[in-house]
Amino acid sequence: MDEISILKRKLERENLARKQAESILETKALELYKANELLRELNQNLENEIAIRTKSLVDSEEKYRTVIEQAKDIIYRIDDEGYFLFINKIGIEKFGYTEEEIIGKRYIEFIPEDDLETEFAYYTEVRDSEVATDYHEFRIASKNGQVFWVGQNVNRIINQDGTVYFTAVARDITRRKATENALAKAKIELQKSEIKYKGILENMELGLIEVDTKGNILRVYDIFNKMLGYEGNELVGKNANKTLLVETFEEKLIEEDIKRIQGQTGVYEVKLKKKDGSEIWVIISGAPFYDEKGNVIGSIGVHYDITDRKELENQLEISRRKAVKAQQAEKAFLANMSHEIRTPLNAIIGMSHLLMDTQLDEEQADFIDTLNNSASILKTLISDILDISKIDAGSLVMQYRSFNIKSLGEKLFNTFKKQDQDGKVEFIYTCDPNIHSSLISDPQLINQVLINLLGNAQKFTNSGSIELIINVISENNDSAKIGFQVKDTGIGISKIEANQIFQEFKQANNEIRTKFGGSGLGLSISYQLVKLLGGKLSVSSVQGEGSNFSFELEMKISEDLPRVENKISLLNKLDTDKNTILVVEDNAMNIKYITSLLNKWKIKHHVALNGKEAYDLFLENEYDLIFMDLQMPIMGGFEATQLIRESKSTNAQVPIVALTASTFLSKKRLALKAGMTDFLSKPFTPDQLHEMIDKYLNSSEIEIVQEEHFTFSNELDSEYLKQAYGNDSEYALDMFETYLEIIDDDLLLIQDSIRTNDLPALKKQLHRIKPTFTMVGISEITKIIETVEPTLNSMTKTELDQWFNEFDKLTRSKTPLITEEIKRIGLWQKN
Amino acid sequence: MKGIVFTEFLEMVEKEFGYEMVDKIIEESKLPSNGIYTSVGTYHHSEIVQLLGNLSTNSKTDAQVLLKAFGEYLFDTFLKAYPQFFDAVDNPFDFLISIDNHIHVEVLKLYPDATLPKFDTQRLEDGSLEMIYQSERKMASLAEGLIEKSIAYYKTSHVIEKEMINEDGSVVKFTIKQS
Repeated sequence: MDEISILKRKLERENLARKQAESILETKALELYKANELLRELNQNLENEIAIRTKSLVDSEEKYRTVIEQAKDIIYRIDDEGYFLFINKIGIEKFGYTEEEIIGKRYIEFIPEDDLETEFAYYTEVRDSEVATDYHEFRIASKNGQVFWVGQNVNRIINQDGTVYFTAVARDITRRKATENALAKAKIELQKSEIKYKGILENMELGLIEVDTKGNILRVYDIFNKMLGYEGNELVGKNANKTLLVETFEEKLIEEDIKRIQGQTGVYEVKLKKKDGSEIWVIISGAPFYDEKGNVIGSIGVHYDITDRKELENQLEISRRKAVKAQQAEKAFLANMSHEIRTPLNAIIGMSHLLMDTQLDEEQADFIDTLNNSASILKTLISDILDISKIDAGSLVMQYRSFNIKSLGEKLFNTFKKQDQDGKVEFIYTCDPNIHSSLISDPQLINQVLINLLGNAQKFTNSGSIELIINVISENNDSAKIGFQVKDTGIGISKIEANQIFQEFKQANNEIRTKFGGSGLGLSISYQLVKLLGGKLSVSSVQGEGSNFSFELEMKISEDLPRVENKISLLNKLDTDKNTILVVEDNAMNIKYITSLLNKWKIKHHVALNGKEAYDLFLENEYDLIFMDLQMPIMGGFEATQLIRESKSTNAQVPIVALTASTFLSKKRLALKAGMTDFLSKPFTPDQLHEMIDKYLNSSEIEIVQEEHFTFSNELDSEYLKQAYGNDSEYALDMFETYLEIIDDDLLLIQDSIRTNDLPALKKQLHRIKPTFTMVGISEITKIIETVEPTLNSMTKTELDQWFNEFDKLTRSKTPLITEEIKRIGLWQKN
Repeated sequence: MKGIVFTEFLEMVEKEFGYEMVDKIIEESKLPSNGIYTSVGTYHHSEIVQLLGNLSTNSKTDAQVLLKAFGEYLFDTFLKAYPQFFDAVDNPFDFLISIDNHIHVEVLKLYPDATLPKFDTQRLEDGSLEMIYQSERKMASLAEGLIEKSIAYYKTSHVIEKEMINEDGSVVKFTIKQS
């Protein structure tokens, strides 16, 4: 090989390799340049970016700083040891220190001394537990010594270098705290007062429970538990009524519960069951309570144990019943006594009258007179006692009718004048000449009052005068006010005594009792009667000079003339041969009195000693009039009368006049109910007996004399009514009115007996009521009863019910007829 | 393949066999680069295979022996050019482990287009180091020369066992043991 050519190639290769390398390096250099350019550009961009970012950071910092500075909340930053790094403007203001005084100080320096321990503990805990955020309320003491509350939200922040600091936003909550404190205080006050009232309630022994609207117990107070033997909350959730109430009171409680829901309160007494099963009485005061919207959400019940009181009440009730019984016994005793005393008294008075008619020497006449006077005094005394019991029992019924007041006074005055035989006292009667001749009141009662007052005056006046003055005080179209005065020149009474004399059994003084005697009832009765008549009895008196008793009565003016009391004896006209009277009486002395009189008047008569004898005699003889005692052995007057009325005799409706010592209206009513025609109260005078005989034995005569008698409606049994009442429309009116008064009660009694299947009672009632219908002219109903009576035993309950329904309906359908008749009688009387 | 391998190879051939041999193998090989190499350039690896084959033929020396000798030669070049890699450690194991873990990582930073062989290393329980060579260039002998020179450089008495994992020499296991 050619060495030179090898070297040439070597050189050439190396040159080419160098150029290749240079070219590569050139390329690499260019690349490097480009890369540098890129880097520079990148760098520039980065710088711009940083500038922009820095600016926005500054902007945002500025923004936040402004926000922080202008914030209403305190914003601050402290390091983890609690030294202030930053505080905003409001913070500085609130703290009252300068910024320099705050920054670098520890938080502890701004905490009030009292709170130091608590706040240090809080801070330490927050720092050590490394919580990220926390809320806390505490107090800060400002420079001027003011303490205020802040609510602080704190955030724990970790720097890049790992150091820790806290940023906090705190708000002044002093006002809220104050409100809270006030609320807390108020709550404490409320609790205190609750405790206070609870204490009071506990001491008052009042058991309280609260229940919801369904009656389930919400809350129980101690005393209530104690009252019923429960403990703690044992009762809570249970139904009060089901658990505690004695069953018989359930209805009452339901009623009360409804009231409560309606928002009403109530006080009521019920029995409750104790836990041990025993029962107590409580008085409950229940009141509803409400939610904020005013809805009733339950009620509170205050319970008071009244078991002892109830016990006492029971005993009192027993005592009261005993007392009432005793009172009834007293009344019965009084009634009996009146019978027992009046009957022999009747005989005494009667006999003395008879003796007067025999041949007497002067001494004997004097004896009889004294006897008669004594008996009269005794009779007055008994009458007084009876009057008082009647007034007390309220059984005194006013009987208003028209009368002539002038003649009433005249008659009365004359009686007294006659009695005064010494002539030492002057009697003066003055009656207003303008007084209306016909006024309406109860003349009998007025009479009684005036008798009492005049009698009183007479008793205490030995010389001087006794004056009766009747005058018109005022008058209008319908009525007149009439004044009554009884003036005397007697011993008079003191003012103090005057206040007492109208009281029962009170006389002016004891001396009076011994000197003048008397029951002391007269003025009391008068006072009561005047009161019943609508006036007031009063007295004015000067001791030693005399007394003036006076009263005023308002009276209606009647248009019709007062009934002329027919005093003309019709005895002469009696057909003594034709008429026979049956006297039924068990008392021998009374028999003697009556028969003596009848003998004297030459009237034919028979005597029966009891009801049974009377009935037997009735069946054998035709009597025109029967005088019937009520209380007799073997058979009484009521039963005998019923037997007679029910008999088949043509004379079944013979007039029967009851003779009784009882003046009680109830007896009279009973007598009329039993079918008796009239009533004569013992003791009676010969005149009264005579009047009664006149009334019933001379109906035909009287009919002729008084043609213009009342004509009963044809719808009623007018024939019978005419016969029964004759010209005595007053009596008819009385009967008709009595019918209306009694019929409803009687129907109810009958219905009740049917309902209870009490056949004997039913029979008795039908029996009794039967004549009543005849007496008011609806004898068809009497007949219906007569028809049913024999079949009663065989009737079923249903048949009885059915019968009664028809009977009841029919009877009631007659009521308008009766009412109409009463109206007609009234009208007739007026004309 | 990096130009340094070609320049160093041709330098070694010139030293051992004279420029005549360099010229000869270049002329005999059909090289796209016409045998003009610069260390900063990059060339196809088939060129070194042709050059090595022609050198083996002309010098009547086994190609593997030549390749191993080239590895030993290259070690000195590396030591001169990049002494920091060798100073960082004080024993052949740490050095060999650092080739794949550190040196090649740095090479790739500088020459992102370089195709480097892979060395998986593993310290064994008996105190030896297992090193598996993987490369499609199949130049494990070059690696062997480098390993041998490394041991020599750190003056230890290690020996190398070579085991072909793949017959074609693309995967070869070296075990470096204490002798």
